[in-house]
Amino acid sequence: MIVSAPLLVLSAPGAEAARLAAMLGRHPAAYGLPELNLHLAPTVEGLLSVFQVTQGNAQDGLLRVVAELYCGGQGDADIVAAREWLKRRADWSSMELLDELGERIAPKLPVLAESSLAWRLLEVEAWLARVPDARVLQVVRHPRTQCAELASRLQGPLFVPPDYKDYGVDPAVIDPQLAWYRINRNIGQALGALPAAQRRQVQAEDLFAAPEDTLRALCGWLGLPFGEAALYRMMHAEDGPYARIGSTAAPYGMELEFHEAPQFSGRLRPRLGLEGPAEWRRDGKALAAEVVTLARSYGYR
Amino acid sequence: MTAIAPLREIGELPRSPLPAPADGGLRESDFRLINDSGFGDGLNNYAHSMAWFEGKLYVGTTRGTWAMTKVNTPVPDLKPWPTECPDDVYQVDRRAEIWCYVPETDTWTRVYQAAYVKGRTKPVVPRYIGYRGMTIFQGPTDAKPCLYVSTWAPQQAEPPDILRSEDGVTFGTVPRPPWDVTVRSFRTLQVFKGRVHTSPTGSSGAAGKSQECVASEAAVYCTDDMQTARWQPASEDSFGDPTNLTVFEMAEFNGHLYAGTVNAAQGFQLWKTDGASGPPYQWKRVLQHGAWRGPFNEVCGSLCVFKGALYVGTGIVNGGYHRAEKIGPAAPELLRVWPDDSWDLLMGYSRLTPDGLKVPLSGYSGGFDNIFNGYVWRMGVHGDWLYAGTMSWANVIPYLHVEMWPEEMLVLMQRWGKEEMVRRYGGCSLYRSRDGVRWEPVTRSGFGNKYNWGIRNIVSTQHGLFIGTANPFGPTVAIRRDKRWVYVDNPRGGCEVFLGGEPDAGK
Repeated sequence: MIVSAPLLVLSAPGAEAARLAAMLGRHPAAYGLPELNLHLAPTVEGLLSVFQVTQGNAQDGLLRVVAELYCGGQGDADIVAAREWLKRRADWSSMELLDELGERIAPKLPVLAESSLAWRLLEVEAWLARVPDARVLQVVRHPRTQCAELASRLQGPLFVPPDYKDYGVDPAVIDPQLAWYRINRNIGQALGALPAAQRRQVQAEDLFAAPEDTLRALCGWLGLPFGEAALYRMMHAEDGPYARIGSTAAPYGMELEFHEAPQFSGRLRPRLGLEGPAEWRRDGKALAAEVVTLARSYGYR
Repeated sequence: MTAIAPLREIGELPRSPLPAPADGGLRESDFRLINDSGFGDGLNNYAHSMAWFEGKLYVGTTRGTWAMTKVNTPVPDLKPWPTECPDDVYQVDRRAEIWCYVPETDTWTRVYQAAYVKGRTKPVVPRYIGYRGMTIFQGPTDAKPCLYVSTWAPQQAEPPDILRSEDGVTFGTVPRPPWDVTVRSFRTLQVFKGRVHTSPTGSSGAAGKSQECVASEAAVYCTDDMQTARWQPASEDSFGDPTNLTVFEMAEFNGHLYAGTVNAAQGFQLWKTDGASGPPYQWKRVLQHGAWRGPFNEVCGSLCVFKGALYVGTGIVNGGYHRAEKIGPAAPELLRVWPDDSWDLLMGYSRLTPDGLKVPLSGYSGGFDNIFNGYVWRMGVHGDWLYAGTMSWANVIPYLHVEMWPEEMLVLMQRWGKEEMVRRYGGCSLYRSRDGVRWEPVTRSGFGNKYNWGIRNIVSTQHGLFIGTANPFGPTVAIRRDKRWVYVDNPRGGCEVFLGGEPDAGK
């Protein structure tokens, strides 16, 4: 059991969960972790194996936090040392590693956002089963604005993961509402098994419209004292140790849009209506009825 | 910084296997190999049919599949050919066999071998080259439940008929339905409301024109008595839609007979009937357009009833790339259909459909996140778990020209190279689930033998779970040695059978 049960922040990509987690992690009584991706394997050896084959940067967060906490910094040499540190603990379970990190930062509250955890219901459930005292914050965002921004980002790269495409047309087209629905549905289903006191939902728009009120309410839920000093720190997530793009050996660790602009700007596209065509599609199709229903259950109109 | 890498971050990521739960699901280590190298003959490539009959396991084989593929058109563009084969397929001993396993003594006996017969133009040809289906059935003229076996006949022989055995030792023949002579094989023998139902699966219009998964007609036939062969049409040809090329798979579910098709133009269809009137019966279409994925769900490849739903595994013929129709390569999906005809996408690709928004509830994309899986080939229920097995063509990678590959495969190829890709992806997969949503891998490497490219049969018994594989990489296989290709004997080539369960299960 970890010393202080963590706060896990979950959302579909593009809902600013990383930003909110980083802000809460800046509270003097909390510690914001980058994404650890511990769900990818049951052991440290398995994690290292997955990291070896993945094409992305799934390992960056874990390497950065180990380097920061155990190797004296996040330079390239520290990242190499962090990898060796992990290899020496290859026989640990992934949750033993989380335990160790929790002890290292104790008595602070560990806060982490895991953007790839909720793609698969089984993995969210397994994570929560292994950390039964964890509190979970679901960040939701209006599907129209969230998906429009995500679709815009996905237009650039050569390779777009199939999870963001609609295969009901030939050729498949980018349509992030499918991922929005899938992940939020998984989160809702997994959180349904948690006691009410351990789960909370927040609209990303509320954070941007009223950051002080939103952070105060969340601190109240988490039992963290709220005051001017704490608010100042939380409003400056860019000062966190993992907010900026890191060394070439492990540059990321959190969602890209947060790394690119870690300062809190207070700007977010306004809530739009749920009706009407999905603007990222060229065929004029509206948001799917299932997406609209789920969004309405979050309070969107 | 590139834009590509971080975006990969927000999609699915590779996973390593989850720890085994302690609640009865079988793990890879729970299986033991009870037959290897095709019963000692690597030409026994496929454990193509399996049935549990009177306390014994029966396995029907299909032989010499690479030799057969070599003479069909279009021929896959493979260099070198994966196994050493003569140009004349009739030089290969393809007489299909039936083997019997006795669990108590852990012994195998060959109980049947197809005869050599006179061919149409050749002096000697095998009567049967494969057995693709088995069932246990008792009709009015059967003194007891009998083992019936559907057959596959080469073009030079008479059309296929049905093998019948009362005791599992002596086999006779009963007539097939009144198909055209171009029908060369059939597989499903589905019992429903006191009748056996079948449909043609493979055909041959001329030499070199054989199609093992596309028939020359697409009707379901039924009979209440196999011996007298009172075969009657149970459906309209192609269910009235000429794009349905073949009725490929059948299952009984919720008091209905379900039949899935091959449809290269639109994607498979799934039909059902309550069999209340007829034959021919009244049928209702349940799924169409490959569950709205289109031709990439060309085939309804497997059906299985589990906990109140009918599970549907899809695929593309020829192992995930339909050469004649140029469909694929693409990975298969897993769906489930409820009694009210609503359906879920369990594993596969998200889409907006006329039936609503569908996302993969398991979180797995096509092929259980493995694009080399060409079908979900077989499913079976054992205890509280559903098992789903795939066919993987990854082991053909060394023989393929890569220029035609999809982009995501080329990325992997550039990263790892051919040999590493085979090492990582070679061999079929078997997954298990207790609810159809939460899936865990049992094996992703053909039980440690990359030459096992398919889970072809799954049979649950009180002795444990039997798994029969398809493994065409015998008796020889082409390997690269000292910068050139050579054929070597392959001790792990030929179909294998595994038995999963506690060591004392069934005793």
